[in-house]
Amino acid sequence: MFRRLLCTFNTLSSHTATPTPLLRIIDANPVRCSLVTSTRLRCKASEEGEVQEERDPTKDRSRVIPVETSMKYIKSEAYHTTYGSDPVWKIYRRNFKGAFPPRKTRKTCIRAKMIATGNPCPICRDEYLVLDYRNVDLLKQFISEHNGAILSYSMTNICQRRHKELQVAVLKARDYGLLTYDVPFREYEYSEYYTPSKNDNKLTT
Amino acid sequence: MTDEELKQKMKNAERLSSKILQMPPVLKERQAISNILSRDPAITGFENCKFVFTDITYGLPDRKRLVVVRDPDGTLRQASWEEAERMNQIYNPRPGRKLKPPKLFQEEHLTNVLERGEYEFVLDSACAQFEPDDPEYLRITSVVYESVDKKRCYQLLHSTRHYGPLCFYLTWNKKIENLLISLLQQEKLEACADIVRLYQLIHTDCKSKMINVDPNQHLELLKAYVEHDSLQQQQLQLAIQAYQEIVRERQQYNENVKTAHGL
Repeated sequence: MFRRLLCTFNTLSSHTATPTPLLRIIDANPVRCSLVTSTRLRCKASEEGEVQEERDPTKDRSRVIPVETSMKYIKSEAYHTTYGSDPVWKIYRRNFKGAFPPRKTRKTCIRAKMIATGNPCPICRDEYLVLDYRNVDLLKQFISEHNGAILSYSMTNICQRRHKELQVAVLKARDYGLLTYDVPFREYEYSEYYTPSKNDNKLTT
Repeated sequence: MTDEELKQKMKNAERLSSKILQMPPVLKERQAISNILSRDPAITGFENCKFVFTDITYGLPDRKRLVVVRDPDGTLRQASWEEAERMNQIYNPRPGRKLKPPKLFQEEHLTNVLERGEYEFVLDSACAQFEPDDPEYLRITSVVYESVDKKRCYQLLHSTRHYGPLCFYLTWNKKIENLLISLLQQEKLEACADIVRLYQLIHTDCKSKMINVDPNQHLELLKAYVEHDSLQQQQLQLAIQAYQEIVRERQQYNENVKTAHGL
């Protein structure tokens, strides 16, 4: 029964006009055969240049902004009128049910290069804020001035994906020396490096 | 606080400060280790990778730990400095030290940091990352000290643990003129005299040592150095003259005030 089905599939494929069959059976042996599905039929509409979905420009995040633009933006007047001298996360309110916010912020505000929420986090809402190791002015806003630690997402309210980006950027900036921090103190044991012998005492006061 | 409590607190503070101001050792560049323990050509080709054996006994200092390497060609040798440091960091990690040195110590990034004036940060990071006889450490410290000397920002390192090694480096390389001038401008004669004495200790064949100057006369010692051993005599002499004038004017002013008050 299965062998007959195989034959019908084969004959069908040879008779049809389309060059690409839906199902392709590699080997006639039912134990060893594998099915390869062709996805070319699905994308046929876009190949012919048909109607693409219209993207809302306010929510579109497909354009990648370079870091240098972001650094210039932070020094610009537009940034100053928007944020003033506060950190970018200061004026933002999370939306949630009940009195206490969920322990973690959302996983990401942006899905498939479009904003997928009505209240994006402080970084995702402004496309010109790029978290990069060179963008030190922005990174400093997320570092505590009291102990140099990276502020938690529960305080800054950024989504999880941006928080990970921020952590990576801060660690890279510290590695390149763009951000300074308190280095742990290195105590030396002088006897490891210098053992004065009793005979020579050249240095006299 | 009572007097005794105050004394105790002061003692504690002095002890802490002497700990924080501990100078990093200044050593010569270390020589590469070439100590072969045994040659066994019979084992050649057994494995195509090296085996590293580390002694992880508790309580041994890192420099005394035995680390040996068995090469694929059968030689059993003592591990090189880099290999030994890597193994030590894996088994006994030190705070502030990474397995791969940070990119901060590469030339372009180092110059970038030094332009911003973060000398203490770079030196602290270098102390945490490298051993004092590591050629990398010596390179980084010399770059930093040259930059400090060029920009004359000795004040930034003045109360830190790195001031001593900085003065030693400058004295060793005979570049103390700028330092002496900046100290004179701050009227720190004793510090100037200290540096000249250090110079005489290091360079025992200097001419100013022949003249027996009373060590307590700081200005005389400095003048002796300027006359005989200095490489930039004019600038130093100008600085000394400026200092003497300031002192004279201040004395004059005080005397005038006294006479005006009728004392």
